[in-house]
Amino acid sequence: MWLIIGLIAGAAVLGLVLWMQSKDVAVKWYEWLIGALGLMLLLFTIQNFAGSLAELESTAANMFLLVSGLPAIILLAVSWQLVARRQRAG
Amino acid sequence: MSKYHTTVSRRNFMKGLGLAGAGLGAAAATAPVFHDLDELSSSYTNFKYPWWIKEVDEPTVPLDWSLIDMRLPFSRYRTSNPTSANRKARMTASMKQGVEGSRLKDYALARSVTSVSPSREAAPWDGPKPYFDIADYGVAPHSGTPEENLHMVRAAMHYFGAPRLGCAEIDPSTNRKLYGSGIQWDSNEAIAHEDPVSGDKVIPKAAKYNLCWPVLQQPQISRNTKEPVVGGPIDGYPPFLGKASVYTGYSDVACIKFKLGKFLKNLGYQALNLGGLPVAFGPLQVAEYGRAGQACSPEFGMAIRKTDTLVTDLPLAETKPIDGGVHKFCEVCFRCGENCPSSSIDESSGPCSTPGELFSVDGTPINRNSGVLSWRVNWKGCVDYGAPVDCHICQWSCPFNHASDPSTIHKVVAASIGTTTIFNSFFANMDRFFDYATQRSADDWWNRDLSTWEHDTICGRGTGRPI
Repeated sequence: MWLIIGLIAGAAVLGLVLWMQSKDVAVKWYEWLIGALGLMLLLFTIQNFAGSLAELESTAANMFLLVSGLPAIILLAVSWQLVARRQRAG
Repeated sequence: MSKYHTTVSRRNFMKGLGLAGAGLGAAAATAPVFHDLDELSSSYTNFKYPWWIKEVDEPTVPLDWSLIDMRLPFSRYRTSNPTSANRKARMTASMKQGVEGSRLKDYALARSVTSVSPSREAAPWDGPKPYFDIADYGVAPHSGTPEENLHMVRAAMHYFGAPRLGCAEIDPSTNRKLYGSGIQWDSNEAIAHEDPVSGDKVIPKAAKYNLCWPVLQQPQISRNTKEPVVGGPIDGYPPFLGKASVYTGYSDVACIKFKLGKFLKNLGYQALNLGGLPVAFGPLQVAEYGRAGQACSPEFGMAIRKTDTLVTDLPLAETKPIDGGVHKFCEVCFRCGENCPSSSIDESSGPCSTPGELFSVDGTPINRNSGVLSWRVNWKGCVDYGAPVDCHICQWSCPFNHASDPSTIHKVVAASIGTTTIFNSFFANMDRFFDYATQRSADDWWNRDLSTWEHDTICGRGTGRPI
């Protein structure tokens, strides 16, 4: 399962990078960092959500969605918006 | 517009190839290099603890060997409560009324795994008979270096069902005291036997290697016996179904020891079951000591039925006590104590406030833990309630029970606990906040999906997960 998730994540990141290059979208180093942290947190959330369900800990699984999933979404959104707004501005 | 169909330029392609090659090269550079098979075999070990569990010279629980006295009973306290009669009444009523978790089928299951063990005749104290006598084959007893022998026995024990193995030489000033009386040590005779006059066990000098291993219990079925029921015929007591893991544990204890004994005897060595208090050996070799007065492992928590022992004359390398941060974590955790229905677990925060003090009832000591300078259980409260038969809630409450479970967070937490104490309170609170190890319904267990359930021991197929 993690091989497939890794392949998908790798392909998605590569696709995103190539698309941004084709559109001449510049990304600052801190925007990369925030996005990378968001992605790692998202993968962490997925693993712990699935692992908690395997452990029959449904409450813990839902708590992971809230405690780490939500921050992951926020970080990814922040990274996206930083890039998008700078593109629109200039 | 480019006439090429790919969006990756030749420059970027070669850059990518170069990066991949550099990565492979770095990985190869960090890998061990062996020049020949001898070098490979000498450095290989079939077991290593995770990096956050350190092997230390002294156990994490402070011990005063001058105070350890195994002649005192484990618990001298005998309750005046009619616990057996009460238990029978509860059991009768709950079966007749069909209380979930304490119905006839629940009791039948939990007690079906009780005493599944070799008979006393098949497993005497000096070990079971070997399956074959090597003398009949003209073969000498197995020989190997102590390290090779430990490697071999560990591999065998993992197959028998014990995931960890420790070994310590028996020292008259320390761990020999854990075996109590009725033993004559350091005999010049080659074979252990019973003294015909005194009945003492006579132990040869060469039989100085004490093996110790944890026998685990299955926490998932135990969650059916996690919280006291409110109301009804078993009001204030947990349902019974989950006790199956306790009784399976006892049966596994006997069977694993029998298999180990036979293995050692087949090799041409002795396997001596000398009793003693295994829960005291555990913290010396394969676990730590927890607040509930039990062995507690940084990998398996308190879901350990017993840290069992056997003495042999097969030369074995020694292992060291381990430190995974458990004893320090217990200072701030108290999950076992807050779930104890009889409030019998020491509530003092921080280290034990009365180290070395024996627990007494009316001035009479009721345990022999004075040399263990750490928390102890109020056996009066525990036994008056009806434990240990009626309750093992403390065991199922320990956060370390899920240290080896699939979610990566457990490894992160365990690694942190094993490295520093500054987050211990936070982690204990997170265990509560995330509501780990809550009570499960017995019907959930009876209706589990057998095609995906991975928590039963399937003979011949292992656990499905490395451990």
